[in-house]
Amino acid sequence: MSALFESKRSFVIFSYAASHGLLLLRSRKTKEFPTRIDILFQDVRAMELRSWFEGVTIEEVDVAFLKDFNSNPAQMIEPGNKVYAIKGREWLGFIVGGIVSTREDDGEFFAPSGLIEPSK
Amino acid sequence: MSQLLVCLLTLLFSLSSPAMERNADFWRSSLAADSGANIALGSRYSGLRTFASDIGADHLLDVPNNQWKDVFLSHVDNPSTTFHVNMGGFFGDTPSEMILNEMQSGSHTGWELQQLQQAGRLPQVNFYQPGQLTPIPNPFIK
Repeated sequence: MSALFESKRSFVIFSYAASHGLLLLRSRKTKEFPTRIDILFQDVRAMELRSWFEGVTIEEVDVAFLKDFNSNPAQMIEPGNKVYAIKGREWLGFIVGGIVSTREDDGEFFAPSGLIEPSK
Repeated sequence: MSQLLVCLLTLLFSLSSPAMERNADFWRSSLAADSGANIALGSRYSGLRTFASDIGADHLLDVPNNQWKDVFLSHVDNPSTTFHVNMGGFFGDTPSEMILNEMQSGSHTGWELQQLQQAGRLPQVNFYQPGQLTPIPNPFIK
């Protein structure tokens, strides 16, 4: 299974929005990495993650991957949902949701993400 | 510098992966508002994906979030698009009260209903009670 996204940088769970289930993971600019990276999962309905972590690999996996997680996340799957394995350094989690998008830019840490529709 | 290059290459790879291509294709077809499209609206918590699948409609949950309003409005502008609204999670004593309350809720579905109202399209929308796959009589037809 090839990775959809891989990075050695540090990320945090930046926000979760109930409407549309938007989960935003963000890596801030540093001296070593002078860009901001956003990873946006949509329609998120189940997850097991750390609130912050160094290094991440994201793979789309089969639903069978979820059987080892006690929160019974497979029960939350509806037609078209995807299962993502989230691999960090010495931990393994998951996200059940819709599509995932990534964006790298020079935005500030608390500035709005270009992946999310601005409020009108 | 080399680490930045690796990161940029990784990002480029992720954006060109098969999963991203599928998403991009869906976005293009949705923005084009193909003739005769059926679009399901409603709350995720009330099973929008299942509802859409059951009635054979598309939904906008997998449109990139920074595009979904434009995609939705392109469908509103296209008279051949039919909207199907699952009222699961709406509150009120009558269907019209449920729909009008949802418009004021601040939800994305409420915003979508407002756009349909402003476009004069509410009388053409199919509304469904929770768990039902047959639309109710449209309360906005005079």
